[in-house]
Amino acid sequence: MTTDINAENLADSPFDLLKACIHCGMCLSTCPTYRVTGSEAESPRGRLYLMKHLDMKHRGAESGTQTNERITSATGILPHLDNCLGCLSCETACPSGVQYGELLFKTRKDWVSHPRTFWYPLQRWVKQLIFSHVLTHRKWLVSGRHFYKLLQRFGVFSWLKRLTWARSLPWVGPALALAPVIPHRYKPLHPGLSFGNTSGERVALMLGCVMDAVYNHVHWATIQVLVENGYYVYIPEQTCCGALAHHAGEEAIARDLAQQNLVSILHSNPDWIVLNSAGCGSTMKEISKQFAGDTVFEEKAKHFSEKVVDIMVLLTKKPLRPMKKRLSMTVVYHAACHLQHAQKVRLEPEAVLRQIPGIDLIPLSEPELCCGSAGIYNLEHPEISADIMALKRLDIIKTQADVLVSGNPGCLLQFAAGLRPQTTEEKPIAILHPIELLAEAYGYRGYLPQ
Amino acid sequence: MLQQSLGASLTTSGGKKNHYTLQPHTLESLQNCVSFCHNNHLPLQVGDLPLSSLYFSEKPRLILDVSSFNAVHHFPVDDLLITVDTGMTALELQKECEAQNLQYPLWFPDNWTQMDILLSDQPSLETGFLGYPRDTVTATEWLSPDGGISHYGGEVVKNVSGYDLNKCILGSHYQLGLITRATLKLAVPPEAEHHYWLEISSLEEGYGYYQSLSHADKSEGTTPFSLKRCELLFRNSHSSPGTNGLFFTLSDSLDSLEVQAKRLPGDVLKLSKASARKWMNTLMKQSSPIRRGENPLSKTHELTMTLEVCLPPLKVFKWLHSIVNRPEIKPFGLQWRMAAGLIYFHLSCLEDLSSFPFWFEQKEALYKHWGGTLRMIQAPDSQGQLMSELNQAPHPLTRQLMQQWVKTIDPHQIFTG
Amino acid sequence: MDVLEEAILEQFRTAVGERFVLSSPEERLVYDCDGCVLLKAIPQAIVLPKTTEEVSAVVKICHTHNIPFVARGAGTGLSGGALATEGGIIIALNRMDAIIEIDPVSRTATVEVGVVNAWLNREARPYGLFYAPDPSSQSACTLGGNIAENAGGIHCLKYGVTVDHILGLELVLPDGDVLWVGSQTRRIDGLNFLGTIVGSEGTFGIVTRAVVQLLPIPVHIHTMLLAFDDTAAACRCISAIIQRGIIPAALEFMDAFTVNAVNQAFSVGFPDSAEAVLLIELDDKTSLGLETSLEELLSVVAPFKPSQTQHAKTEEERVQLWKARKGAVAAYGRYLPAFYLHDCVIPRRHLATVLAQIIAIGQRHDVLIGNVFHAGDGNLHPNILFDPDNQAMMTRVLKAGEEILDACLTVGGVLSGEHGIGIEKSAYMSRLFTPEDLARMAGLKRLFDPKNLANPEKILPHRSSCGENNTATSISHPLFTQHGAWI
Repeated sequence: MTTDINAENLADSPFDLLKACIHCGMCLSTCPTYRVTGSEAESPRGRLYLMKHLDMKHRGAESGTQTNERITSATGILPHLDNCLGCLSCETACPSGVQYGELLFKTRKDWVSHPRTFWYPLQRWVKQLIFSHVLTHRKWLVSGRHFYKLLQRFGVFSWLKRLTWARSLPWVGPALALAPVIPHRYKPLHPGLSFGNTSGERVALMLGCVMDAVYNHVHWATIQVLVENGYYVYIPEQTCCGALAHHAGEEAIARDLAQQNLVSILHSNPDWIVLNSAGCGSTMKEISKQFAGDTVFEEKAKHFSEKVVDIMVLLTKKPLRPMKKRLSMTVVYHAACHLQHAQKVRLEPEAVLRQIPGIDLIPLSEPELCCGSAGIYNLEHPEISADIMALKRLDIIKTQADVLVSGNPGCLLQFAAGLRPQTTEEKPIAILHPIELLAEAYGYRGYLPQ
Repeated sequence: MLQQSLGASLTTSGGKKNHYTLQPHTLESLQNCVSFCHNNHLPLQVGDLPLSSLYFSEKPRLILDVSSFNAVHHFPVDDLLITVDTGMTALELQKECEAQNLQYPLWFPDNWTQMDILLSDQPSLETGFLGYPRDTVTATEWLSPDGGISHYGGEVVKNVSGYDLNKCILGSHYQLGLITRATLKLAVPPEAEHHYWLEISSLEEGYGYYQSLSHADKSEGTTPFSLKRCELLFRNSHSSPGTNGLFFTLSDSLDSLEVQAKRLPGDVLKLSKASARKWMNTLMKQSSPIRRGENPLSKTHELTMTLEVCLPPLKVFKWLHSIVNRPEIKPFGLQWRMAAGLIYFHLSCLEDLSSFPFWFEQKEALYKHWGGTLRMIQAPDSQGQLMSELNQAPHPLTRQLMQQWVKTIDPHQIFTG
Repeated sequence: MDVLEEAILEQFRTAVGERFVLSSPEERLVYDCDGCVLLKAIPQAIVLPKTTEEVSAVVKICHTHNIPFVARGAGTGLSGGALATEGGIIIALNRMDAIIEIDPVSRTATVEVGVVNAWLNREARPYGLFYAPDPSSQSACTLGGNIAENAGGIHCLKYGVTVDHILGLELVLPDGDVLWVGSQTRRIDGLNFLGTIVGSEGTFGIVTRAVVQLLPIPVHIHTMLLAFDDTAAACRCISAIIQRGIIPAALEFMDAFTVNAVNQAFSVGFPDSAEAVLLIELDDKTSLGLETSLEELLSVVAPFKPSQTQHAKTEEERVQLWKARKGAVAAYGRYLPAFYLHDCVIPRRHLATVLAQIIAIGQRHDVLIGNVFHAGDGNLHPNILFDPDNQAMMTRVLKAGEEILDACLTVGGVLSGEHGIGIEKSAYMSRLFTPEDLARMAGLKRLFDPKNLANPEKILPHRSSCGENNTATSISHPLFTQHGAWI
């Protein structure tokens, strides 16, 4: 056919990625925010459409040409983009291969300084502070944990929860609703520690922030299972993965953190960089994209990304050593969005779980649905998040399972709060990281609730 | 003079002086006849579907004879379609199809016209397996009472262009006019059909047998029964032998039918083609309002009335149990088209006329609690009004809208009288 | 069109709740088109009711103030049916997403119309049942949208289109009254309004609930792919299969261009060199029955010399094949960002000639056309690809579209087989229907909607000027001159 049209004409600039969207609408039914709000402005297709208009306005302003998009404004558009969980289930559903995440984070980055509301600059300042100065300091996190335990012991949270004004505060209220009961066991982990036989493949374990502060025992379970399977596990020098900053569009912070990790972790010469937190994992895996075109780091970042692997995927690389203990229980697996949609890890976790003797894995009817956690989304958008949780809850409760497992601390926190039995007849469900079940099956104790 | 201006021949008919039959030969003269009646507010009887008391009365009227509209208009054999004028009878249609080694999937008695069949959307013995007549129609030409002609559809099997006027006119019982031409979907006939009769002593037995016929499909490796018709007949426990039983047809290749026959129980009686044909004729005539070939003024139908209930097939048995002991329906004869979920009750008018309120009540209950429908398909002349009331759509607003539509199309009620 | 006045918005808010009336410019903007990006119209507000009562309340307000309303589901329609072209509001029904009941004994399901087609199938599967109509967008499109358009799909060759599976409906009339038609059986009481409401594209009112028929899932399925070096041979093969009396569950056609696009998008490994590919699925209750029909099918196909025959050996392979087919249209996105899709149905015997004409038309106007369609039904889907930013190309695309339509109508085809007329094809209605036919249809519309508020200007061709002219292009085409729509 004689024609001047071909695929190469498209996609020269990142925003031409928008053209890949043919407006078919296949993404709608999978989008959690669309499901709960009913509004197409809160759907991937709607957001892409708005991004397109934002882009056209932007370009129109730059080139001085007038566009006919006079009715919309950036201030009106941006909240809809902020309302996105970033779960990327739309990418899984999209038949045209639209790189929604890429477009969303790019737009968020470009417009991060645009004030949406009066309080936005302040909010942003607080977030920046947290992203670059709190989450990056392990000392802060660990002492924060101890302080939190102390408050918990004195019943400060349950007292605060009773105060209406406290519950209505932004950030604080939703945080109170989430406030997890942190387990007593805490065995500190720090760079320099190593476990297992040095002859095994070298596995660098990323600790993360929330994971270490709240779910420190999951790290121990990870180490135990890996050592059982002949890996050499060590804790490299590291800082925060920068996922939260990246998702919020604070690219400068994210890049700085990524660079630090890149240098220090690669320096330790790992065979694998393993994560048990899906959110961190997806960001780390995409480091190569962050540094694409960078003269110094491009190669390194590519090398780095290739080594990043989720714990459940790593466990499928070699046959697992047989597990001794039989766990007779019914289990549902919630696939974290950053695992199933962002990292496209879909089959491995369930394949690993099925090898645990005695486990009955019950499928969910909507396995692709997000739980509403999405990093700090549940703090910023508590209502939407709660509505999404309610949808997810119905699906999970229906299964009558004993245990829910999920490979992401955000999801675990969200479920701990959202799956509390609402009536006395309702069966309580234990919420665990999948690796905890494996550790238990290998004979380690204390991971299952009494 | 009327003959000339309408282009149709006019004769007195049935030996009754005041009954005149109009026989147009072209579409134009048919149009003329209809609009003549429309303009002069004259009642016009078409076809053999008694709609109202008009059909039975001896009042003066015109009768439209469409028997000369029986040509094949277009027959694209490759597409398994045929376009015919609807005066064509079932026999004529099957003959046309047979010549091309095809078949109209639903079987109807020889002398029934397509017009009657399509306008009553009459379920056939195969309906549970192959659908209703409306499912076989891809295009219609519709002559409305004002003489206007509209078309819908084409020689295509799928169509959503505009409002589906086919659906609107099919099954409308002449209330909206006539279908003058229709395009029908055809099928490739099976190699052979074998007919059987199985004597039963109770409804349970018959139902159980039907289930074993249709569920045998599930066992691996065996040839499933290729059921095409299955009709249960039951009078009551005191009736003479030979009247209670299951009539069914298997249709497939000869080899396969032979294998299937071996798996039928020993007491099944294989029917000859001729006697099966006789059965099918009786079964269809008993379960239809079409009275083609009967003398409308004969009094035989004064003695019986027939009701049709339609339910989701698997619910029928339960429903039957819930009403079987009601005094209003005893003694009854029952004809049950099992795969379609259709049951026909044959009631004696002499005793059961008082049961009308019961059926109104049942219709409501069926609609609300069972998701089913009920209609009266044959009733004594005197009950024409009551019958047409019973046969309306149950939801009041829907009924009102339908009446309004009929009134818009046929303001002088030339067809409904 | 500007947003509605505050007082009316307030009434809507009272009816459905504050959160569920959308009126900001950005929110209205995203509702300005559906799956057909050719046509756009910004609604004056969007209302998201949750129950039939809320729909009725909203419609009553519209009736009082003479505000046109357009029902919308997931907005995946391909004929611009869910656009508020005459202003007014969009009533989006996607929040009405409850499956009220699945009755395995009646084999029916009672659903609200916002239920996504695929969800119903998911819920019915444990009972061994399924809902047969499966449009390509089934993972997203709502049953309400399916009912409005009388949607078809891949497996409709054997199982019939939406109207064959809808047993009962709850309809909110344009004055707010609610009525039911139908039952749980296929027998119709009174006139068959059910059959006319299905496919009426929301112009008779708003369907809020439906009773649908479910069928037992066929246990034995065989899917295969046939590649041909010659398009005409493939078309003759289709006719031969049908003529033999074999009714496959699905019989689909893909041309070489589509095969390439699909290969790129899904890397399914369809034969690259083929001129035409047929996807055929047979199903049966028994393995024996399946074997017999497969044997018969292969013997029918053999004389047409397919260059390659692939059988799906596992369920995964089968799913992959259908995923590729259902995603074919989206895969065109890899070439150009938009497509203009026609949906004519032609008598099957003309497939080969019309396909050849379509290819010639594409070459004459220098546009890319991908053909992927329901061959067994004769339901063509020529996808003319375009870039909305390229005006010159747009003119060629529209011209090509019109010529394709004419080619189809000439051989006795109809305008649409499953996508509906909407706003996109209403200008062509008078090419298919006589003024008398159209008048009859208009009469039916008046019966349900005397004030012409329910999805006005759809299906039937209407007055040719609508006051304000938004045409931002100089394209001369019935689509644009008639409706003043713009790109």
